[in-house]
Amino acid sequence: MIQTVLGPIDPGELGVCLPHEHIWCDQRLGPRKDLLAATRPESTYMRLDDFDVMVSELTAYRRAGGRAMVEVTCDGWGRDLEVLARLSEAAEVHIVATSGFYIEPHIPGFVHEWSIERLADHITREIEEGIGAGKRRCGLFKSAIHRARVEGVELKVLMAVAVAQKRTGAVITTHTTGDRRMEVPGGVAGVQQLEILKSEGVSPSRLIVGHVDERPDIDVLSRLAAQGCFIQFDVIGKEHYVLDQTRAELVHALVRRGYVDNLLLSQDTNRQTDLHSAGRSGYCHIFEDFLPRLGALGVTAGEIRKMMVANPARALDIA
Amino acid sequence: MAGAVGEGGTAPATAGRRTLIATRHPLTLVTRESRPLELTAANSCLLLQDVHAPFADPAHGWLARRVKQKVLTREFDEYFELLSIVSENIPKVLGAARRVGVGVVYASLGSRDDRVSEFQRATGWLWDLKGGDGRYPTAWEPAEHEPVLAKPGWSALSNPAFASYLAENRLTNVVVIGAMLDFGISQTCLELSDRGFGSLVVSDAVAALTRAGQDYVSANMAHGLIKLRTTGEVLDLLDVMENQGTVLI
Repeated sequence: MIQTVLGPIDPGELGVCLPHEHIWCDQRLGPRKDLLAATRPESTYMRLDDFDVMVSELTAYRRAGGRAMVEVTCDGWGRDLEVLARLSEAAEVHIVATSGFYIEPHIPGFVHEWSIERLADHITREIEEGIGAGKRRCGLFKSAIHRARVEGVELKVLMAVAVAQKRTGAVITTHTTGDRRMEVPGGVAGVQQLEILKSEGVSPSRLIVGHVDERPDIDVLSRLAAQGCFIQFDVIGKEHYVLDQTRAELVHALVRRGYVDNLLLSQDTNRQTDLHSAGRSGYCHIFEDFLPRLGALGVTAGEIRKMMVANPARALDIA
Repeated sequence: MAGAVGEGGTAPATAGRRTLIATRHPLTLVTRESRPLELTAANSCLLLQDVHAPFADPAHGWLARRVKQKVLTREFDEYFELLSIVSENIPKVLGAARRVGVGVVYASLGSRDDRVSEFQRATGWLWDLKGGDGRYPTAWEPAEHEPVLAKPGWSALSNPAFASYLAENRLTNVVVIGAMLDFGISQTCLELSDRGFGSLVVSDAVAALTRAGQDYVSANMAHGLIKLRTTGEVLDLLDVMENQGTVLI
């Protein structure tokens, strides 16, 4: 069963899915903006908050072949499951909402105060009972870091997510990088997060290691995949990290190493400047640009389908 | 499904020949991860670099006057915007460093005697730090006991007195804030790294000439022994240092 904002669906109904996107968010709401790079103007913050524009973008995505999307905005910077439900209905796209928390600048104040157990209870309820009057449920957990180590309140969240994961079975998706460079092996802290989660009894198969293509190291990714994690190339199109062609060649290499069942692909769309309304490709870049690159490299249709359909469905399936 | 999934075969028209304006940092992809820095009040200092009037006074400093004379104000709009952000953060970091007992040192481009470097002659920046060009904004004026070093080039290490200061005080880490990130601060941090010193650059308490420069230089610098943290993070870290005596970064 996959829990969407409109209710549960069978994994076979999910279809083409981008497992790491934003649809409704506002980074300006983060309570500790002083921990962000303050030299960036607020106009560059992640923000998507125009309902009609988002219906249009999601509709374009559906017309391009998309059927589902994971909305990874957490409580603390604009998550609104009622809006997501209306968007899902209007655009006819499955939307899966996210429990857990983002990086410290966006973690609500109560998280600092509560115990791990109380936090685990809270996010378990977001999966099993729902949120607010509408009782709409989340379908996965998120845990994030913005430093080179898993520490402080971000470690607390990871521990709470581990407890809640074991109770619910829902998958954990991770944010593994801040704007740090070269402070952790392979450039992302996915390895550190995995080790902590394993020590808490979470199966690697219930972990999506995110943002691996901001600073990709194929050896680290292979080791993660070998342990059973999902490894998620989820900033496709953001070529200030690496070129999309580099991403495509890395995906191709990982497929050839036998890890096609571990791979997920997404874009992490999160700004109005990413959208069709700003002259960009919105959620369709992956169809228009990236998948053809994979095809040109020899990744087969069946392999692409695994990464875009079967793997997200398996990841999001709450047994 | 519009044939989008699984029908590859041809690369997109843009593949391999698009003109990129995005900032990438390829060297950082092949360099090993760096070890944490361990900061204590005894092994660390705060360096304020090029925060004197010529670069840091947006109204009357040499740069402000010069760009106005040259009708180049627009070219420096981003710098002065960044400087205004930085100007809020420099006193916060400085105040916290003083509170927790981290030594403070200033290094400013210019000279205090008649000797000027070839670099200064080449640029025409012959600032006499004994005069008005040696002033500092009130919010971060040096305290009486804090060394103020004149430097003849971009790097703080262009004045040997800075290396002596580090050695005499047995310092291994330098927290860096100030102006001219893309020239002087970058040069200082890279040279410190070459010599085995750790640097912690406070990413929103350093100002580059442009926003693109800010992003590009910051990300390129942060490798080896150089780390980046925001003012908010550094204030939290200094609190930890005060309470626990040491902090890992």
